[in-house]
This record gives sequence, structure tokens and C-alpha cells, in this order.
Amino acid sequence: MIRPRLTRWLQGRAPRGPGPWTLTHQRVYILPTRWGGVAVAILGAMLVGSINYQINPGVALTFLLASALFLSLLHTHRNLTGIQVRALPPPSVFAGQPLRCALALSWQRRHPHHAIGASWADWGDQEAFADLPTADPAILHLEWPTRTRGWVHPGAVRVFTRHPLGLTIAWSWLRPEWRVLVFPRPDPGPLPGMEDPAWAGQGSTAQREGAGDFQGLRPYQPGDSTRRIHWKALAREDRPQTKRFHGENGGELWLDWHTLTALEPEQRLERLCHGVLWCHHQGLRFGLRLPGQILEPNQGPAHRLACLTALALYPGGSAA
Amino acid sequence: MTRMPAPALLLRSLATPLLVLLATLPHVTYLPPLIPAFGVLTFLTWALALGRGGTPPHMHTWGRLLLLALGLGTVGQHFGQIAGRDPGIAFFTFLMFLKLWEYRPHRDGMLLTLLTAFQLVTGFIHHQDLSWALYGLLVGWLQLLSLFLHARPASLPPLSLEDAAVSALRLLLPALPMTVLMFTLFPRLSGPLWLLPDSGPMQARTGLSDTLDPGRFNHLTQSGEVAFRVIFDDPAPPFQELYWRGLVLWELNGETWQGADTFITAPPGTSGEVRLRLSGPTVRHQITLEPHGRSWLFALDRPVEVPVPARMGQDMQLRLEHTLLQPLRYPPVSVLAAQDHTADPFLLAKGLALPESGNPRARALAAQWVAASATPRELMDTARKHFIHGGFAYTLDPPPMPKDSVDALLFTHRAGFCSHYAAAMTFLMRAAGLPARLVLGYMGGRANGDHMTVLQADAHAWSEVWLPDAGWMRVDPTLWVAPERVRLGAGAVAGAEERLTPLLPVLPESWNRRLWQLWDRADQRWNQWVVGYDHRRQRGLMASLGLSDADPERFALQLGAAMALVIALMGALHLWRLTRDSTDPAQRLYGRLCARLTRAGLPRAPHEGPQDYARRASAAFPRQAAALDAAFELYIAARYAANPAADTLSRLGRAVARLHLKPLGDRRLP
Repeated sequence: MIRPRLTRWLQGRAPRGPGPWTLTHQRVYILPTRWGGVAVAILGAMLVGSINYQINPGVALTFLLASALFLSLLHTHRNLTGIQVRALPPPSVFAGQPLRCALALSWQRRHPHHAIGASWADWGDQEAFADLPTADPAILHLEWPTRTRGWVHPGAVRVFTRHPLGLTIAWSWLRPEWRVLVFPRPDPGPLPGMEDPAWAGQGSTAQREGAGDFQGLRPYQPGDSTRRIHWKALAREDRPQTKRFHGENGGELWLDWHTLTALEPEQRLERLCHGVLWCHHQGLRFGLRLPGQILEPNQGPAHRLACLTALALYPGGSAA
Repeated sequence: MTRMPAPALLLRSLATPLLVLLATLPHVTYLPPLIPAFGVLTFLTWALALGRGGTPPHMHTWGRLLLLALGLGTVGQHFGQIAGRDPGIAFFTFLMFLKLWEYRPHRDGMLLTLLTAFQLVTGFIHHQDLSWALYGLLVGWLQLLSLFLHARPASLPPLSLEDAAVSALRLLLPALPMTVLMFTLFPRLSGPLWLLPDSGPMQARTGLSDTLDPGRFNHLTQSGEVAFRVIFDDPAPPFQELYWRGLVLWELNGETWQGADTFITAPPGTSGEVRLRLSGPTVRHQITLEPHGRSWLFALDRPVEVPVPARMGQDMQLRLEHTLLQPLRYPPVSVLAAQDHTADPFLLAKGLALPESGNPRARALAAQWVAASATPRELMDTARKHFIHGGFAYTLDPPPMPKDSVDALLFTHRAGFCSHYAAAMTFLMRAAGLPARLVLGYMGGRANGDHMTVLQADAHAWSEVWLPDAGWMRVDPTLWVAPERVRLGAGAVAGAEERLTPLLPVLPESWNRRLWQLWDRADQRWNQWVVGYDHRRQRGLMASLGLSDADPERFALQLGAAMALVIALMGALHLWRLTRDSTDPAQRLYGRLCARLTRAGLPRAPHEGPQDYARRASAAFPRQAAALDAAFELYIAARYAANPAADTLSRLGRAVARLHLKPLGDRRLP
């Protein structure tokens, strides 16, 4: 068929990268919508009828509405032209959660724009809309579903508008080339080496103070997580105390691929992913051991990210 | 908990049913009354449901099917058929109302709004005058407004009614000039594309009817509606000569004069000719006749040349082949003093026929006149004297005379209007043995600028009596009874117009008359330029613009090309605006400033920033230094300041415009 090929060719011409791009009239396409087709058919019937019955007021009204439709086409075109689009990098998610891809729309000159929408160029029927009454940018969110870990490239985006009458649609394709790492889906199953009654069956966010192998308090040192400050003790004593758990006083906590012998590789990754989240949340020092890759015990967001990345990119995932 | 929506919000959600109702209004006169009633009911149900904060009403499929059958039945019963144009429109209207009972917001809002456009245009089949055209414009605006409301994505806050109204107007007003061009240029055909079936009997409008029953019909129409308008190509005759001949009634059945089936064509064996003796000047005129749903035409008495679409009977009655549903413009030629000597025996026999019985006193009076007169002329003179001196009065509101109406008029009430007197005169003449016929038409008219307007209120009836030496002679007994009938209209003053319903009762009467005149003129222009714009006028107009019309196909092609040109120009204008949008206005003004300096001999160096250029410019033009500095500063502010003042751009524009730089080369160096 001609149409998909033409569409593919036109999409191929769409600009790549994160932008910002200005939608110039060279890359804004415009066509009647389905309703526009209905309107044209009705106007045609009106014209033929008026001519046949020689009803000149009918001819005049037909041309009035046709002119308004034509002008609305120009309005639609002008409503999209001149908009600046920037693709914002979506944050990483865990497999199964949708990616929230964001487009920042703004304009600088002349006239406000109304009811600007965004959708995926060739997937789904999501539509997000925003008005741009002032020059302040508006953010449109589109969700891209994820199923497996690894790199994900959400497809091309269509920025469009049917303003003002809904009879014409102007659109432009953009290929933001988003590249997002999707982490494995966290699986809160038992993890050998973490013999912690609070561990099993707990979601990664349910952990609070009092969980884990509590070892006692030590004076607060800069760099300690605020989550670990013993607030009740602070009320009694004049300086903050930090709670101490297993795994941070020399005894190292390892999240080890090799201990999960009973599980499939993907399940192991999911289990380990949950372990990483939990340990990080608890402010623990932990290391990650994967076949051919060892992350030495550490803590903090950078470490968490490094671990999750390692899990996400472990060979055997979805596309590279 | 339901919440009462604000009135504006309610009105907005009622836009669709309201629009369907408004588009139905032009059809109301001929629709089965149940359909508009159903429409009003639908609207009220909507208003009630939405007013309580609910959703549009929904009817079960079975209910809708039942209603569908009912609607079909109503249409069929009303029109006698369900095929054809008017039944089709009626059913279409019904379906639109029915659709409002299974309404899906975005989809059906769009669909119904678009369909009302079609509905509105079909309304013009029945009304084409200016007031309905303006109504169409108003509804067209509401249609755009409704599209605005429905096209808005549901996830965004809905438009306010005012915003939608203003936006729709912004779309409509620029469309007007384009409409005028398209309307003028679109190639017109000389005939219809397909044959138009007469869609059954159509309801007659106000004005004349083809029967006359003076006794029962005792209230003269005082309608201010326009019957037709006339433009005289020759000098207009004096007012009292303005008899607009319409239909001729020959047959008296009991009390009723009839003419419907008696269009007089020559029966076999007769000559079938209309024999005229012409003398005096011809009066060429053009009549624009409002559609009356009948087939007869009017012309100044006596028409001698039949306008093209009509044929003329032997009694000089003009008729179309079809009923008149649109305004018609035609150019009759009349000779006021023409004598009609068409005296085929069957005509004279028709002119003497009377019912067996009835009106005995009138018959006796006629017999008495016959006995007293030697010649037909003498007899008519007797009749004239009788009407003048018989104590008759002219009134628009005579008592009903259901039986023996001629006797009742002549001997009992002695009061009536033109129809009564003309019917009585015709009766008397036939009873006296002179062939006579009853003519219905109009008398008089109101001069208004370049044309004359004849209203339904000017409807008139008179007699024609056959005299061997003069042929069919016009006899108007109303003038004997009430000679002021002529003077009343003569100056287009008081009398005649006082009877009209004022347009705006609050205004003084003189204003109303002025208003009426202005409106009438506008309506005449509308008729002349829009309603009557056909292929002949188009060719005339285009020829005056230099477009040849020799070859119809070529002509249509040229018109099509002109239309394409208009569209292309609009597109070019649009692109120009887009490029203008994409350049920074401050940059544009700066470009103008630089151009001025360049012309004065101080071009900007390619690498030069505004500050350096400003220094150089003030040095080169010391007298203008202050103005130059100000302009440059404004530019820098407009282009680079984080929050430039709102008027920076306009001040920059003025500063640039006000600069007057003497070219450097012209100055003598000191």
C-alpha cells in the first residue's frame, strides 16, 4: 500500500534528537479529519442541491461555510506552526511500569496556541493535550509501556492540533530518540544471605526504622542517611544518634547471583533488583555479585544506579 | 448530590439541540405539526435533564424504533407519501430530533451540527428573502460556535460560551469577502441538473387565492408582505393606472368565484388568438415576484408580450408551467391602452354564465337597468351612477354575507371592499346580458428609490365587461364607491401604510415608515443581486469584467481558474503571515533602522553589534545623536532585556519611523 510507505518516508524525514525543534511550516502537514470529510460531503450535497433548485441564498450559505472551513484549515496550520518542542528525557522505570515521556511545548512570538496534542506516531491511541495561552512552556506526557528490562526506545511522536473546528488536523512528526534503561521488575522473594525477618514478603518501600538487624546507636557523622537518625533518641540526647545495622560494621552484605540457584536467570535478576532497592532504602552498605561482574560494597544513589544498571544490562535481556 | 450548572454552562451543553431546533424553524410552515412539537419536547427534556446536572436523555432502542415508525407514519399521513422532497426533509428533521435521544457527546455533537447546515439550506427552498438570509447567517455562526465547543478535547477545560462566540465570529467575518467572490465566480447553470418533481400540493401563501367568496371572506389581508417589486424601464405610468393583472375568474358556483381550472386556452375549432388593438406607449418593466406557491404571474394591465417562462391564456392571464417556489424575475411589456377584442363565442358564453338561482333582487335590478338603457354603454353608465350615489361605503371589515351576497351588499349592508364590489358588478353585468369576468391582482405600489414595491395589502379585484366596440373593458366599481382608494396610495402616505404592522412599535410612525423603506430597499437589492443571480447575470457581469462568454465550457473553466486563484491568494497570504510570525518584530524594526542608516551612507559592518553601531551612528549624525541613541537603546531593550516594558516595541517602531537622516554625501564637510 502506498500510504504506509509514504508515512514511513515522511516520518523518516522527521528530525531526530532531543530538540528543541521549531515546527516550521515545511514540516507541518495538514489534512481534513474524518469529520472534515463528512463536512465536505455535506457541503457538496448542499451545493449541488442549491444549484439544482437554483437557490442562491443556499449557494451563498454553502460558500460561507466552505470559506469558514478553508479558513479554519489555515488557522489549524497556523496554530501548530511556530511551536517549539523539546523532548525531556524520561526517568528510568522498572519493567512493567510505563515510561512517562515528556514534551515541553512553548512559543515565543505573536499569538497563543490552543489545544495542542501529542500522541505516538504509530502506537496506541493516547492523546495528551495542552493549551499554550502564554509563552510559558506546557508539558505533555505520553506513556510508553515496558515489559522487559534493558534499553527501550520509545517510537516517533506526533505533535498535532485539530483546533479550531475539529475538521482539519495539522501535525508534525518528531523522533526524540529517547533511550531509556528499564530495570528489572523487583521481586520481593527470599534472598539467601539476607536472613532478615522483615525482608521476606516486604515491598521495597515498606521498610522503616526498626527493620533489619539493628545493632545499636553511634554518634551521627556527616554523610549518614537522615533516614537512619534515631529521632526518638535525639529528643533525649543533645546530639543526633545514627542507627546501626548489620552489614555496615565490617561484616559485608552481598547480593549474590550465585546464591539463587533455584531460580531462572531473569527471576534472579528480579530478586536481586529488589535486594538493591531494599538495601539502598535501608541505607545499607552492600555489594552485588553477578557472573563476570562484581560491584564492590558501597552505598548511596550512585551505587544504587550502578547496581540497577548492571542488572538491567545483564546479558540475555531484551534489545541492546 | 446534583449541582445546578450556571446558565452559560447549561446553554453551552444545550448548543446541539438548540441548533437543530433553530435549523428547523424555516420548515415549520409545512411540516406536520407533530414534528416541531417533538423537537420542542426533546429540547425541553434536554434542558431539564442537564439543568439538574444530569446527562442528556437516553431512550431505549425499542422506544426509538417505535418513535421511528410513528414519525414515518406521521410524515406519510401528512404528505400522502413518504417519497419526495418535502416528506424527505420532514423525515430528516424527525431523525435529527430522534438522534438527540441517543446522544454520544463528541461524535453526535459534530454530526448533528454538520447536518444542521444541510437542514438550513433546504429551508431556503421555501424562503429566500433577506430576513431569512440573515437568519441563516446567524445560525451559520452558531454552527461554527457549536463546532468550536465540540472540537475541544475533553481533557482540556471547556471553552466559555463567549470565547467560542468570539472565535466563531473571527472565522466567519473573514469568510464573508471570500464568500462573495466564490458566489460570484462559481459557474451557474442555465437549467436544473435533474428534473424537479413538483412535490405535491403546496400550501398557498398569504395574498391572493384562486377562489373568491366575497360573502364569507370578510377580512381583507392587511399583510405588509411584499407581493412583488417592479423596476420600470420606461417612464412609470401614473398611480391610478397601476393595475397589476393577475388571475381571471370566470365561473360563479353558488357564491364562490373560481378560476383554478379555468385557464382559458383555445378549445379545438377556435382561433385561439388574443386579438389586441394597440395604441399608446408601451411600458417595459421588470417584476421580481416573491414565491407564492402558485403558478400565476402578474404584469401591468394589459401585458402584450409574454415573458419567457410563462404562457398567456385567451383571457390574458399569465401562468407558469409549475408552481413558483423561488423568487422569479421576468420582463413583461405592457400597453396601458391596449384593447382586447378577443371575442370567441365560447368566451362570450362563459362571460354570461350565472347560477340558476340566487340574488333575485340583483337580477331584478339588472333587468330594470336593461329596460331603461338603449345601449350597453348607457347601461354601464347607469350602473356607475348607482354605485356612486347608492350610499355605498368602503370598509375593510364588512359584516359576513353568507347567502345571496350580492343582494346583501347592494341592498342590506351597502358596505364592503374591492372583492365585494367587483363580484357584484360582474354579477350585475352578466345578469344584464353583458359578458363580464372578474380579475384579481394588485393596484398601486410604493415608489422606493429605483423600484416600486407592491404589497399583499395592495391586493385588488375589478371587473372586465365586454363591449362590442371596445372589447373587454376594465370597470373598477371600487373607485366609484371610494375614489380615495387611489389617493390613499398615491403619495405613499398615511392611509395605506397605517394599516401595516409597524416593524418596531416603540418607534414613532414616521421612523417606522423610513425603516420599512430602508428594509424594502435592502430586500430589493438582495433579490436583485443575490436571489436573482443566474447564468445570464453572471455572464453579463463577467463580460463587463472582460471575461468572454462565447464558449460555455471555456467560460466555466475561466471562472474555475479565478476561484482557484482566490484560494491560492489566501494560501499565499497565510504563508506570508507565517513567515512574519517567525521573525522577531524587534529584529524586523532593527532591520529597518539599519536600512535607513545604510541609505544615509552608513551601512552596518557585518561583525558590528548594536552598541558599536550606535556609537558610530551618533558620531556620524551628531544632530540626530539623541534620537539614534534612543532607537538603539530601545532595540537592545526589546531584544535582550529579560523583561522589556510592554510598549518597548511600539516605541521602537515610532523611534525608527521618526528618524530623518540626511545622506552623508550631500553634506558639505566643514
